[in-house]
Amino acid sequence: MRDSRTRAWLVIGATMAVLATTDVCAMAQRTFVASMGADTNPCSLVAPCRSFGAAIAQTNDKGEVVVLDSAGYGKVTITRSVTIVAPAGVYAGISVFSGSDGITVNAPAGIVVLRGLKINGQGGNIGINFVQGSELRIERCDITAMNQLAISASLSAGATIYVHDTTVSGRGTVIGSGLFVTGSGRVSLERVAVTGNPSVGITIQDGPDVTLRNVVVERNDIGILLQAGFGSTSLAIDESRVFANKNNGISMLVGGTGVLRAAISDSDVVSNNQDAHVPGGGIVLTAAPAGTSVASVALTRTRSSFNTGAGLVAENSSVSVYVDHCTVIDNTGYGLSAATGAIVYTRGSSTIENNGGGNLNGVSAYAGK
Amino acid sequence: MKAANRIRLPLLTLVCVIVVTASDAEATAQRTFVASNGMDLGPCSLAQPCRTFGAAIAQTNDRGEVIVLDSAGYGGVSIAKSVTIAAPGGVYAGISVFAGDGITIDAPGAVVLLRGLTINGLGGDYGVRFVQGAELRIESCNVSGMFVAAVDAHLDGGAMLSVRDSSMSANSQGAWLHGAGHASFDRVRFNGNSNKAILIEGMLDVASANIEVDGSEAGIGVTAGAVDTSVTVSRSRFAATCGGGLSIGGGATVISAMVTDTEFTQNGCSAGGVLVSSSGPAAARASLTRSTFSGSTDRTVGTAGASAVAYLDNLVFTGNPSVGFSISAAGGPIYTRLNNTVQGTSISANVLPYSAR
Amino acid sequence: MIQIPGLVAFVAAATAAVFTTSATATAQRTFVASYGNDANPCSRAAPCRSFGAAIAQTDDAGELIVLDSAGYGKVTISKSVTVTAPAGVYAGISVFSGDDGVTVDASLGIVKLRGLFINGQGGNAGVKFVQGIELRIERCEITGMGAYGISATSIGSTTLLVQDTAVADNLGTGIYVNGTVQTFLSNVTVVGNTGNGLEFAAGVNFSVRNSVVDHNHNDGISIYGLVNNPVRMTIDNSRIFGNDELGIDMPLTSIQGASLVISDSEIVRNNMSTFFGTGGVFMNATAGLVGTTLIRTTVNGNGAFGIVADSSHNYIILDNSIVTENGDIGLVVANGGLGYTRGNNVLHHNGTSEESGSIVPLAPH
Repeated sequence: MRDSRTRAWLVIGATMAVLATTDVCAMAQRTFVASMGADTNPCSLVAPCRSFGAAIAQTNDKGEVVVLDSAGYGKVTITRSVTIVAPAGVYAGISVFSGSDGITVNAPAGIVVLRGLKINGQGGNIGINFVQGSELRIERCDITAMNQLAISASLSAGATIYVHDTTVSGRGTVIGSGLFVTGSGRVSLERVAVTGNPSVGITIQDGPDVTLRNVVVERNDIGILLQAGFGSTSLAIDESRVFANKNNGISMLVGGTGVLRAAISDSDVVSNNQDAHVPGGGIVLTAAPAGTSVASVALTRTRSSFNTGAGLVAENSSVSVYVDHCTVIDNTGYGLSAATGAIVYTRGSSTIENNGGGNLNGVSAYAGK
Repeated sequence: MKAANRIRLPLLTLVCVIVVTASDAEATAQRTFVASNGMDLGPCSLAQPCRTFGAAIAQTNDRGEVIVLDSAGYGGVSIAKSVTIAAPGGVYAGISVFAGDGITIDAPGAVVLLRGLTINGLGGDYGVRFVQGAELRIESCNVSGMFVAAVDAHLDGGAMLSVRDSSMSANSQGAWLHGAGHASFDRVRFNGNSNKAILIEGMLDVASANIEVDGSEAGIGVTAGAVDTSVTVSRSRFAATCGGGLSIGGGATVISAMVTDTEFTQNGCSAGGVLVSSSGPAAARASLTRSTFSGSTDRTVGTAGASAVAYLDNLVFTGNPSVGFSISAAGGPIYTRLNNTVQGTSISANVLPYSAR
Repeated sequence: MIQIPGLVAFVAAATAAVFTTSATATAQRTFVASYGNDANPCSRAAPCRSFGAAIAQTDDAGELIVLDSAGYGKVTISKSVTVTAPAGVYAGISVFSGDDGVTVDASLGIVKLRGLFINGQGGNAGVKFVQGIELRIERCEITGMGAYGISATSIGSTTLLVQDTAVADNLGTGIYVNGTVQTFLSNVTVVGNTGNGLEFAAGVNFSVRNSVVDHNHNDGISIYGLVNNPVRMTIDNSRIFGNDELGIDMPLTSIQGASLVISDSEIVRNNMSTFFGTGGVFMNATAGLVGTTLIRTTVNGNGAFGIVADSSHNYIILDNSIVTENGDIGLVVANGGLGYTRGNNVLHHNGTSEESGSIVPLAPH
């Protein structure tokens, strides 16, 4: 009698164990991680997991992973649509050690949202690596001290990356850049600070459409580096600041078949290139002498001053710049300079004074309409 | 008697164990934690947080992070390495400063980030004092009541201070900057500091956007030091200062300032909006664009000293009582693009046209 | 049974070293929580339950921290203190009939209120500033009050700062300031109040920035009084939209002169229902010289008149601005008023005509 009852309970117990195990494999629309979680849990609210990797494996496509309390949650590779969110008040950290990346997004057609994550390099390579996907939103994140890149995004046509309310900083590592975006997708940065990266703050390469608004790029080597060798690249910068970068503030290079359209408005490009690179200054725009590349840049209500080198220098033909209502003062080189076939137009509406090499070099006039 | 001895032994053992554990816990970690119920004898881990910033930093890797888990006061601290101290939104992390500094940073090459801290002066001199280092970032912090300065930064050798989304109020100075380095301010409020909101001495360059200043002796004061200085101010407001929104005192090295899309209102005493003075021989200049000046009680824009000049582009001067000139070129000339709106004719001599290019 | 009194004593001593144990001594920092008790010392480990009890235990110039979400009761503050509820913590004050939410009556006091939610349940004023050197209201929300969201009437050289705050749906005036209280508003939302959105009486100097004054059921901003002192007022990067009466009603008279400078702002679709009187900006002084300067500002779609200077003691300066689609006349200068234009403005599609009265060019300098 006892044996059979015991056996019955054993069977029930075993069944429950099996059920429990089954629960662990079932996916959910929302999963949770917490400092007291365990990766053997089902990642539910009452039984959260301990790492992002375990939680994502249990999350539905287009589901959410919610961070319950402050802790480190480990690097992760994401291969489908998912949102990871740490609410305000919760610190969700990822320390990235040598040889690793923090978050890798390799999600064909995926939409990935990352909110409130703190990614700190401890020898690691890339903070957030967007290899493939439809959309990546980075909001209220903080990425520091990565050895290669804080954010790297390879964007196929139709792909978009949003970075809002985020800081990206090098914090004194020997190498490392801030953001790198390439491909024919779209990039939107709002209220982003890119500071202290020993290499380039923001690199834009070959084809994306990029907008920067309320962005601060400071104390990097080159502030913003744009390389357009092929494809059509656009860059709109508004109410932003590029300040105290050791190399050029904004360096735009076009070559090959690349096409560049850029508009910079209501912004400050000041105090750059103290390392005195040549050609150098606040805004440097260069086309390769050969090839069919074309660049057109408009500067409106923008300040390019206090730079070592020129306020703006444009070189080689098929490059044209329009300057309206700007203040270009106290650069050690020219204020505005058009060299070797480039055209720099001014509306005759700017304050351009006290530039060490001369206020204007080879500049043309254009009329408002 | 024997029984009593036996009882005492476990106590001693317990104490020894605690000591030994503390030694093991001195191994540093990439991330440490403080909490209101923390104990400084612990390893400052998530499970056993510490109680003070000082204890936690001692246990944190170089370039690691100290995280505040819940609301409390955590004590002042001296920092001698690269580290982040961060309180997430929703957590109040306070430091009361009764004397001296709240936070002292003194480490060559150190990069320090302070986020979400509230530093309250109750007799202390400095909220954050950056004696030496490579970079200090202050984000979402509030510093008030300090007797000398909220933030005092020595930035020689190209060091960088950046302050964002923070406030400095009711201090003597707000931010006091020294040395050939760089500083930037974004979305910072300076309310009711009795001396200057930002005092710039011998800096390389300072840039700010969207700052609000009121109730200071002067908004931004700039004095010449060992290197030429540049100052950029955009989309900001200076109000109710007694000494000018921007006050430049040139001397041996060049000071050049750009002010754009900024309001100057209710500034008074001996200088209204922008005062550029220079005892020479180097130049001091201010280039002002698309800004408004109203309600000043003396020279709204003025120069003093022969090597002080100003440039005016698309400005509006209105509602300034006519005590002295609104535009006063008492020193070097004031250049105008001839596109400024000036109510009344309160313009001194030596105001000369300059051409846009 | 083994007792380890030494360890207990050690812990107690350590705790005492960190926390104030006496219930009567004040501390540089006190705490309230939903689980607190007003008999406690209001320490971190033993918080109080109400603001009143905690402030009594707080040093002058100290801080009171709210630990978790709850209601904490009305309070009168008579010392310098900072009350802080961090983001994510709801620190509520329900204000019942006959009461005010927070009364600041602190001679020489500097008071800061952060993160409070003050909701009227028949009460009078959400925050009442009757005396003090400075009151700073930051990240607060004040709603449903019977008479005033914020009322500031402190005498003497005092300052009111309101930042990142919403004052909405009160059954009276949103923010009322009287007398010598110098006022700075930054990132403030004033909407849906039954009375005026902002009301500045008796020559208050004020500066409004990055703010919104929308859909109040009387004037957006009302500025009035008969004073001797000069009055300086600025509105920058703000919007005054959809108020039932005037956008800005300014019958203010100042013997020594008053100036309102409006820059990079929008005054749009006010006074739509009555179509009588002014929609946008109205001035009518009886002495001195009181004027409004509009720079890069849009005055659009207001009922009846866009901007009116209605006495010989008023002037308007229009610079790089847009005055369009107002119901009657765009810019009106009447009864000896003075109108100046920089000649760089856009006026079109106003209902009757673009401008009326003597408007002369103001030569640039």
